[in-house]
Amino acid sequence: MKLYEIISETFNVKTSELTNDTMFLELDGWDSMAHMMFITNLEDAFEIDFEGDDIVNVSTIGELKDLLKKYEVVEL
Amino acid sequence: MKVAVMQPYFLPYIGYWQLLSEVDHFVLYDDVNFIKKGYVNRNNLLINGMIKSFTIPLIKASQNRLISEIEVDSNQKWRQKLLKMILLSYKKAPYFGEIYELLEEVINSEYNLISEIIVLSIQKVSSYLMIDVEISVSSQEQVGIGLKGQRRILEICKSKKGTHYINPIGGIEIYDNAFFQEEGIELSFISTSSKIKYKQLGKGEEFINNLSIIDVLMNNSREEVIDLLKQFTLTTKS
Repeated sequence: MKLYEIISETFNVKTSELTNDTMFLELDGWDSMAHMMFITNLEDAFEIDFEGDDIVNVSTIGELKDLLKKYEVVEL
Repeated sequence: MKVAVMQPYFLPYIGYWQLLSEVDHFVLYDDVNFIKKGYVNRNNLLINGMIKSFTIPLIKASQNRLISEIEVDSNQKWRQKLLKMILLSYKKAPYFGEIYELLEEVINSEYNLISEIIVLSIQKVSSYLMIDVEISVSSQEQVGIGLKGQRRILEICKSKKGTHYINPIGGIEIYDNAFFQEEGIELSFISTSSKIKYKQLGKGEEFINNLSIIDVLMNNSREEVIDLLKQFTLTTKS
């Protein structure tokens, strides 16, 4: 739930509207600045540092979950 | 000449100011559709250690209207409310005096449009932080009207004699390196460091990131904020 709360707070969207197929670009509150904020929110909340193009290649919530698992984030 | 083109946000988080301080010319991109759930007119502060959002009320704001057309609702007593909220939240903050005065000047000034108060807030805060940047407003210049996405951004960048365009990392998917290179313009993406931390009023060791610049200004000296503005990385798209 932590992940959904971060998405909800950053993009001002209800957690109930989010699914694995949700594309970040299609969220009503999306813009490039909000997305930059989202990346630092993720790094801060999960205590990770994204490397290279990892995070920028992520388009959907499902892809983000897979990426976070790669960074050994257990509790999403 | 480094250029950035970005939607206007009211007193946004530090990443926005990092972009502003890194470029020579910052274009406020206000002739695009309003983002209703975005950060144009809202942000977050800390009250007694808890996150609290503030919003400037707008008249008929919708995703079908341009940001440049949207008026602030002057009938609501939001100015006093917002100033009171800032006062209650930060009156014990180390830099309260000078920052509250700056914010009071911005919030109580004369304006009708949301983009007007945002321009003023950016000018005031940039001046306080000694950010040397030229600011223009896209709706006043009408460059590349009819073009969409990166095509319009490129036209605006060219109109400012830009040789280097910088965008927040979040937009990397919608930009094409080759498209900018063909015009001799370098394309980079800025990412804010998630390591940015400072002592926040009302918080112990815990830190809440990405709040409005108000929180940063209230808790840090001008020199400390200028140092925080340097904590970012620039990358290119491979």
